[in-house]
Amino acid sequence: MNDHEELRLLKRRLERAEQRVKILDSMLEERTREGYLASAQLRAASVSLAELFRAVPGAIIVIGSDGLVEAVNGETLRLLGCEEGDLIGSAQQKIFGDAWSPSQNVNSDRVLRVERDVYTRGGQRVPVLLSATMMDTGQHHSIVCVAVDLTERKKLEAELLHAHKLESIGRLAAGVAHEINTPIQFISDSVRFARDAIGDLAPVYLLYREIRESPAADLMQRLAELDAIEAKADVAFLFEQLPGALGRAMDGLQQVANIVRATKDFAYPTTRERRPANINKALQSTLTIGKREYADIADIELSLGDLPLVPCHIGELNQVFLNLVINAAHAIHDRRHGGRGCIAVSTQVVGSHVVIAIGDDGDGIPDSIRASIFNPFFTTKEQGRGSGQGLAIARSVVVERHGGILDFDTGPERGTTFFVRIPLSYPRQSSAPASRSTRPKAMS
Amino acid sequence: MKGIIFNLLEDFIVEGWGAEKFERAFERCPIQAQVPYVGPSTYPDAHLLAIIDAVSAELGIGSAEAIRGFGRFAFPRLAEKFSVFVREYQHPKPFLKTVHGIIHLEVRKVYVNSEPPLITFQDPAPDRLLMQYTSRRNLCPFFAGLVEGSGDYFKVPIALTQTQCTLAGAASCEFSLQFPL
Repeated sequence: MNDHEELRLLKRRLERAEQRVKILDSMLEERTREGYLASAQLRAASVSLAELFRAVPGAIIVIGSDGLVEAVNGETLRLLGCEEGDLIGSAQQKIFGDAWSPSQNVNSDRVLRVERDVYTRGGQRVPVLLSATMMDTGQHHSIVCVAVDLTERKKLEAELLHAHKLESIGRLAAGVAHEINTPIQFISDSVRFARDAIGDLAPVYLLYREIRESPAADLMQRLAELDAIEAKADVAFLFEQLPGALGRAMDGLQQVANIVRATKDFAYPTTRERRPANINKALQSTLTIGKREYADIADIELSLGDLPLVPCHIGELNQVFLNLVINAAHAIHDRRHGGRGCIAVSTQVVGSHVVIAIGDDGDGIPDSIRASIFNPFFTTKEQGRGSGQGLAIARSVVVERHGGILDFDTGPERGTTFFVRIPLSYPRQSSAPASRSTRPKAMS
Repeated sequence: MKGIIFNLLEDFIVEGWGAEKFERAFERCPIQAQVPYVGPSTYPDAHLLAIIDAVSAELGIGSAEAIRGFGRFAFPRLAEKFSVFVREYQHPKPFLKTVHGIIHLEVRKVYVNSEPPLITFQDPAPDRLLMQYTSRRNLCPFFAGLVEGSGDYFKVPIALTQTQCTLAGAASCEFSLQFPL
């Protein structure tokens, strides 16, 4: 290669190297500008995030892969009554209790949404709606939990449930009054008959006493008078009828007592804890006081199995049973071919659940609305006949309050049967944290 | 293809055969491939193939041989530049098992539109490794060279055999690696 050629190639390399330098210089400038802008955006995002973290009306708790609390926001401190130093670096159990932890239950980027309890500094339980998800920054794994205090909502739900119960009791009052009125009528008739009979017997008794006190004077004549008064009073008839009349009055009083007891059972006050209850008895009470809702439309076919006492909120389940019986009656009333129907009510133990089935022989639930029937305020009934809360409340009571299942089987030929499945036992509430040791660490 | 590969290719030729050979080879390339390549930029794959074709013609060696040699040359330099990926390994085998799951994952994070090849493996015995290479670029000689280069870097000889190739109609290129016990 001659010098000229070598020079040409070197010049070419040099030119390319210069061009590279220019390109790299331009890229460096561009990257610097981009870096500055990205840095500014990052700062702005960081400020926004910090502000959001501070202002969001939910408790945000960040848990590291080691299960220790990495960060909390002000709402968390307010909710739990803690100082930041109480929580940062401490085990997640301090907040979530010993029985459940986000680390054990969040294992993908899917958002876990669950109702749990968190614990205040004093160990008091606070119900929260917890949304938790895995956060992977590339260098660091952590779990971000957002907890929304449900105390007020729970209170409102309880109030709504109570209001619905009062509404039901009010609605049933007319039926109960009717049920009580029938026996009261014949109690009244029987008692009136007894009163009149005693009135009729009084002269007989008085004459009898006179004869007893002065037996010598005109005995035969007085006895004839006694016979006449006895005949007039129809004493034999009275003695024949009185036991029956009083028996009917007693039966009537028993019926009234039963209705009053059923009403009292139905209106069983809501309790925070589940208590063992007789589901069969509760169903019978509900059918008794709800009789007017179905008596003109359907017969009840009752098949109650042997059930153990079931830990439950029986007053709330009564409400569920009544809602389902009323729905069954309405379904029968609305069916195309009319006529008197049948509401089949049965109970049995299936596996670890008590299953209460309440079925009608109506036309079934149309496909188009099956997915909506549990939605609050969804109703196909005309105004005044249904508020659309019955099944929503039923599901809330069965699923949320009892950890049970409310499902149904329906078809145009077989009507609809709702199945209330209540667990025979229920998992223990998560226990308060056993250890409250802390390992303070400054929040970064 | 990232510019760093073009720069390494130039280094490969210049260090092995001198700057003149590279310049002559570069002049043989189509005019659109005769651009100044800078490391962070991305260039068409066709440019690399055009330069390799020109180099192999200039040097009088086959393209596959040139590419494989280039891969072997490139690995130690890439390892030096991106030492974070290799420094915790003492042997090529555990390192090679991370190529797709760690290195290519990071490449995809940094260069969103990049298309690193799919590298899978089976580990049938302590002294063996079976690797599969799948890429629309069909640069399996480059992959083979990189594997050999990893042996050079870790100072562990690797007996590499290609058992099938997409260029011969297979679904993927497969390599059998044998390490000394």
